[in-house]
Amino acid sequence: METPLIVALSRQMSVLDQMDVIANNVANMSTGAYKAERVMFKDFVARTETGEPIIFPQQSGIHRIYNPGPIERTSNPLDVALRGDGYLVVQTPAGQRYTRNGHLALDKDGQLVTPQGFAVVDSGDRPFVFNTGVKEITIAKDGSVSADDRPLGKIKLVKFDNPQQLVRQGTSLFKTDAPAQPSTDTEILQGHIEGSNVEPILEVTRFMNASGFYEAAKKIVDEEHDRQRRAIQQLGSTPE
Amino acid sequence: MSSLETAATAMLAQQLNVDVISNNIANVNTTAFKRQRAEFADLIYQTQSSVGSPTSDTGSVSVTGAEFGTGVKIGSVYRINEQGNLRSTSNNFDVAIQGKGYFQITLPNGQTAYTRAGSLQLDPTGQIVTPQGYTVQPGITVPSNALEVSINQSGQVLVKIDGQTTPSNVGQLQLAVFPNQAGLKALGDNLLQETAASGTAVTGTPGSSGFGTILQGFLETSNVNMVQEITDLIAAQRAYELASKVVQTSDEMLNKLVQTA
Repeated sequence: METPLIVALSRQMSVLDQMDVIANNVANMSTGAYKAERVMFKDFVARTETGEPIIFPQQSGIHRIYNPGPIERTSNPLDVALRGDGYLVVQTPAGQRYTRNGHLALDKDGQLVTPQGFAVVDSGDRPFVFNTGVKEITIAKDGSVSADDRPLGKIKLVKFDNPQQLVRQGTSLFKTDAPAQPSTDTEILQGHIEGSNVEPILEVTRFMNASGFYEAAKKIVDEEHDRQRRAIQQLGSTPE
Repeated sequence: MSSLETAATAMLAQQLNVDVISNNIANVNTTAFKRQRAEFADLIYQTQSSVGSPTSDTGSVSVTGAEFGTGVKIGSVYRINEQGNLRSTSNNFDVAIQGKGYFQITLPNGQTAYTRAGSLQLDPTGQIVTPQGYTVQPGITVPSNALEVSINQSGQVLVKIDGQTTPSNVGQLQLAVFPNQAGLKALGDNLLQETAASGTAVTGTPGSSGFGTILQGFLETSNVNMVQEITDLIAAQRAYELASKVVQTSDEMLNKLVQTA
């Protein structure tokens, strides 16, 4: 007897999950190299006593959309955008992490670091160090870094068989236990930043949809509630 | 339901972004001002189901986890140290730096600050100072009987004194460079200060390797690009609106939840 209510409520709960993900996408509309996410649903099938299927919607995971974000020019020589499916490798105290957000900087020792101060490593897993007084830092399309025409090494670029396995760590960093493969076809664009790939219009239509589904589920809950009340009143009334 | 708070973090971050943009626009005519850019960073993720968690006892694992993001913050606001244009002012005490480097200024409290704004002046004793009256290191005094003051590319201050045929050298302007000039802290009044992030200043003669040259009679303009700023402003405003719409929709959904009860 409670089944219709529970189906409708499980729908409402999955819509709330969807709303959380949409809100995070909208919040990260301006975050460098942010990848939009979608909630995936699966059906959980139960059977009535007579064998009729009852299908509950259930959130089954979050899927990241790996379309490239728009490339913006910033003119900052230490901003790099990646074109292709590669990732930069950064050394953190907890081990190597991966990022596509190429807003880099120099630290007090002249090391090439992310805004959190983690060193970006070269193909030999060493950090890049620039001497004070370097006039011009150039980063070529293949990731070769040079200071005043003196080559320093090549930025390590890696890719993954299944990037969905990367786990977000916040501040644009990813972690994974899966092996990283060298990425040879990723291009680096100096003076540019990859923007967020969130499509505002799609997010608007999605949350309008979510809102509509939520309301529809509420309607079912309300009507089911009414129906049950009427049933109790009619069946339970004493015959005159 | 965290979408309410998540969207609120977006509104807050976009508001700070507009603050940065409006400061750039306000400083479009500030000498040697370097435009700033707000860098956004995503917040931590809450894991509901981990990627790689088993989905059966035969070894199959989930290939996508469910990590819910909690919004956005301003990760950093950084200066873009692109050279500004050089504007001719024909003023003998206006000097622009072409290339890398900062003038060193002694603050009233004895500390050293750094600036690229070269609109220099003389104080009552003839010393070269900034418009605020702070000494430009190493403290060069122009004699009161000087007819002409010229500052050459390598920062030498040469004065022509009445009755003398050759100009005499009264001092040498030095420039300072940093391993990470984006790490300097802005003090206002076009002044910057050394921090742990910038590294220690290295001083040298203008024109030597790694240092810019001095151009007398010019000022470096701000590197703010108005068209870019207005475009960024529009984008920030739209993002703010969209986030507020998410707040509104989340609120309506919560409201319905209350009605259901």
